[in-house]
Amino acid sequence: MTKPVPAPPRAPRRRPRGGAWARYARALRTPRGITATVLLLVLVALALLAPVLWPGGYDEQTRDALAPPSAEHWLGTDEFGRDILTRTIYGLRTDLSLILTAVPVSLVIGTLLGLSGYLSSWFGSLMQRVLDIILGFPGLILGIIIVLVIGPGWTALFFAIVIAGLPGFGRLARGGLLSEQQREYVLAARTLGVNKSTVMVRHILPNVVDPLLVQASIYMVVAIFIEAGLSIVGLGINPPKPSLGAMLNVGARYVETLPSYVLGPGAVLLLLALAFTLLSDALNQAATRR
Amino acid sequence: MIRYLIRRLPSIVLVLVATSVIAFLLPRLVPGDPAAAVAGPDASPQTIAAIRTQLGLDKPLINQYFHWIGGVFTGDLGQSLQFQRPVSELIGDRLGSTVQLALLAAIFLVIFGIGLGILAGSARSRWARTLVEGTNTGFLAAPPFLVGLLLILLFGVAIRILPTSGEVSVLDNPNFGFQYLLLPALALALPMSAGVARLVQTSMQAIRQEDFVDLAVAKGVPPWRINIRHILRNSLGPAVVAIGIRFGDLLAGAVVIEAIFARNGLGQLAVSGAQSNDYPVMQVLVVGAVFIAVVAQLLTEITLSALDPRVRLG
Amino acid sequence: MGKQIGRGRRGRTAVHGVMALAMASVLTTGCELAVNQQGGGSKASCQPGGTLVAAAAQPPIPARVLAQGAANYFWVRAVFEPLLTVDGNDVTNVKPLLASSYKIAPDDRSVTLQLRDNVTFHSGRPFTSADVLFTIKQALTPTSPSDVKSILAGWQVEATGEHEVTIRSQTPLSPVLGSTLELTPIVDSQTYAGVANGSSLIGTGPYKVASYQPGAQMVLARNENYWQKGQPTLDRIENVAIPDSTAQLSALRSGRAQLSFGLTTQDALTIAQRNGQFEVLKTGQTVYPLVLETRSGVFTNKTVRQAIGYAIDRKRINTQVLGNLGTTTGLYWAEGTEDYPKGLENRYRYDPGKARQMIKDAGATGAAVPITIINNPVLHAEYEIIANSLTAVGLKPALIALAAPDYQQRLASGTGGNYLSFRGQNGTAPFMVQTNADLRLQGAHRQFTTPQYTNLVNQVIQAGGGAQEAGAVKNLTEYMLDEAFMQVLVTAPGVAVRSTSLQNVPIALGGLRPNESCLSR
Repeated sequence: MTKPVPAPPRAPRRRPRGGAWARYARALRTPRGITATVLLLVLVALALLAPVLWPGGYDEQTRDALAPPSAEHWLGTDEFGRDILTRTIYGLRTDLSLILTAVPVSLVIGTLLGLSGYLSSWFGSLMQRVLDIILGFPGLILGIIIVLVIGPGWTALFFAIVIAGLPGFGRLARGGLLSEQQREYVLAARTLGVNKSTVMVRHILPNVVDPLLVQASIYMVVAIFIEAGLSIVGLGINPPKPSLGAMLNVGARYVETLPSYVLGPGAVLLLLALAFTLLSDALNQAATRR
Repeated sequence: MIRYLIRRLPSIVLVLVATSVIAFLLPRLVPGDPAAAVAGPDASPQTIAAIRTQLGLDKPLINQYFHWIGGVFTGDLGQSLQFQRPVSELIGDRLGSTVQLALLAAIFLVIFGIGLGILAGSARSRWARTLVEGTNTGFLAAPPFLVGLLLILLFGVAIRILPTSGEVSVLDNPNFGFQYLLLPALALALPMSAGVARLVQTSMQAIRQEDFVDLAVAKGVPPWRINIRHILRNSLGPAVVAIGIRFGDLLAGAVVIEAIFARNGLGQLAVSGAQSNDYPVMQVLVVGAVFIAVVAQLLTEITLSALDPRVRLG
Repeated sequence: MGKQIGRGRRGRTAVHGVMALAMASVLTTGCELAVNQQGGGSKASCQPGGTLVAAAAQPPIPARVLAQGAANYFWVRAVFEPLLTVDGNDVTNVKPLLASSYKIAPDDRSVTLQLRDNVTFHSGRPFTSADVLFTIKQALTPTSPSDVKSILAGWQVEATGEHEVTIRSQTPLSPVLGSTLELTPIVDSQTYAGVANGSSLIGTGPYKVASYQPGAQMVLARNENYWQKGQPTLDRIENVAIPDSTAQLSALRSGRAQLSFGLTTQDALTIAQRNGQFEVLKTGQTVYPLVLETRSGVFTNKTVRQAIGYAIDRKRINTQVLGNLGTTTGLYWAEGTEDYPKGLENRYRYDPGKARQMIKDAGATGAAVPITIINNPVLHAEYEIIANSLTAVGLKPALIALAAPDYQQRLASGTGGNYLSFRGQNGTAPFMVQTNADLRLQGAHRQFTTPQYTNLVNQVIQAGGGAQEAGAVKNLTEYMLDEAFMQVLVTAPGVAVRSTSLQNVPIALGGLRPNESCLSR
């Protein structure tokens, strides 16, 4: 039996020119990057232009409830006679406004908390313990308490999403830190006299950022589910404002009679997830490791 | 490793004490009077006040806190305000159900998460990778309750092969118990496994570019062995962290899944407790959940150090 | 190196082999399918025995035996029985139960009830008039959840024989006797201490409590020594708590449950329409009012309050939220009662143009209208339509959605603001104005109070039947409609879903009476 011949070695990699930003910009020109960017831009544009494209707003109730898709209502009408397509786009608008603000904030704070262990080990340990507590808190309960204390609405959801995301980002950052801080290049930099915070930002951070970007892309979608879960117990975005999660909740009850109610928000959610996934993939491929 | 555990003990105790104070205070920050919920929808203010006294809620907070803590050491975890029963009894009734679901879901999570991740990370042909990634993204975008609902429609209504409502303990009847667990565990694990799979895949793709992989290829090591022994082992780190995080979710509240499949678990108890300001129940559940999360974190760090010798414990 | 390759390959194959073997064994060892254990019945003839599984959205609350509530709907009248029973769907239909007969004095201020002498509690102890006195005393304690406390407080109850009780009252008895006694089921004086936490639930009913899992379920077993021979028919009743509506539908469709309570009207109608195996069961009339804050804010002005009456599209609430099963006539009272003021129906018809004008004239355009609700899907849905209606006439509604402890506390302390609620229509007008939290004089949830209102309510309480009562109710209703401090939006029946395999399910005010319920198998 002959051993399979190994594939010929790949062409030697060229180290790309330019700093980190240039690398990320180049990443966006890959096929994945382009698809992701276009998709996201389309979705964001739809969301921003919603008041222009559908000036009637999201609360035009009529007597024609739960109507099947037709020329006038492409996805049909909901239980109060409102156009589902309109509400889907406005729901996208609400959700984007939440996740595009809350998730990055959570990412930044969480990463700083996780990496703080490098600067000061006792502060880092303390932060890890705080993250332990937040993480251990039963998720929906934490959300319910935050919303009930602040009062249901956009602000409460913002805080709920930020706080709930901290442990994920913090733990990943710390995990990466533990791997990287013993590596030769770090020890070399310290020997050369570079101070700790510069090492942390300039050297460790870029190498730790891959799983963080992946987690961020995942968390964008999870954040929508957090809002959906809180909507089930009546603590989500205040009606009549729509949100994708709340629409999925209600639509699930009509999945056999009016499937377009679920398909609309579901498809938009899928496209969002796809866009964020492709984006984080593209950015990851760009980052050089050494 | 024993030394590591002993070194961590003080911080664990610190976390538990801090958590007990937070678990005591935070629910009391939520506006509303639990006595009003107990009194019912048509009660007069006099009835509510009388019930408040009966439940011991007008004693000073410090007294209530130490009364609770003192009770914990003698095994009395407090008395639920809604049900007037010991919290330990309420939790004991539900613990088995939640643990069984969490364990099976965790097994599925590891299998599907790492399995899908390996498939995506090592797939050579583009269409295979696209297919796997497409499935993954699908799971990622699917809210847990929708997955549960679809599973109910498929296997409970369209093809009546699995039960979709209620539960039987695996300890009482392994066969039925497992059948009742199957759909809920899948509904719980599949969406979560997408996140884990993504982490594994990304790590594998990154590691694949390392020098030692080139060396192994040059040496003529077969591809699957490179994948498993070299790449996978080094890329499991973030996946282990993610699974550790998720395990806390699994145990402390697979709330939505329990609700859809009519399972009587801890998640339901926690939600009804939060909505009726049932302080004793919330206090115990929160401290318990944090404790479990801390243990899970310890296990994660130990596993990480076993996988990656560069990680030093502590 | 060759050895290592071999071990690796064998290792992988071994793992695959084990997995395949495991799956095959599970699928082929002829394992019983759990689904086959769950029954599904048909409309064939009724058989004695069997187990009824009833799914309720809330878990049982034993502490509220002496009150009316959805949480106890399926078990409390199986375990505890009142002296008189009132039909849940027709409050004028009063029948004796633990009392064998009763005679109201001509002046309508006292009644003598003869109690059955063959009734025993589940513990074996015989039921006597002392138990009636004990029960009423319990209902009057400060912490008691009883809805009819205020009426009981005005009664003098005396045991005038071992099986005879005489009740004396300052106010007319016949309008309130049935509902008050129906909502006060007889409890066992020796074991009542164990009722609050569910450790001992001893009553006289056709079923005993076999087991109770707090927050989850209650299992009832047939009472072999029930005083009515030949009853009950079923062997067991399992009352399980299933809060999620998807899960309730699952339980019904899979055959696990034959009865369910807590689905919204829309969901109940949908499953009944799509599936011939299920029918909708009406569980008594519920009133859905919007109560306005009259001490401050835009509704201090009577014109604006009246404008609300014209602004809200009640018919749409009825159709889109309550399955078109209700009426929108706008009166709080039960339609079948003899004092029902039919001429005052539909005072406020939907007319958004008129409402807009009235609001503009009062200078209230653009005013904020915060509305408080408890987190309940029906109230959420109601709010969406109300908000739409109010926005269309130039107001700015906002939602304040609260959990039970906050909502109940605010309403009871009079700080609820404008609120939406739902209340049972449990009796005649005199009964309701003494017990209903939106209407009564003491400890009410509404904030509106004037000497004239108090006066008119007292006249209704004192009227005592016939033309005088009808006249008093008419006066009160006219005043209420004119002052418009609350708008009764819809009055609609509550709904439960029952499988067609379950027969004979009469509903009393306090809940299901499963004495003669039976399953066909």
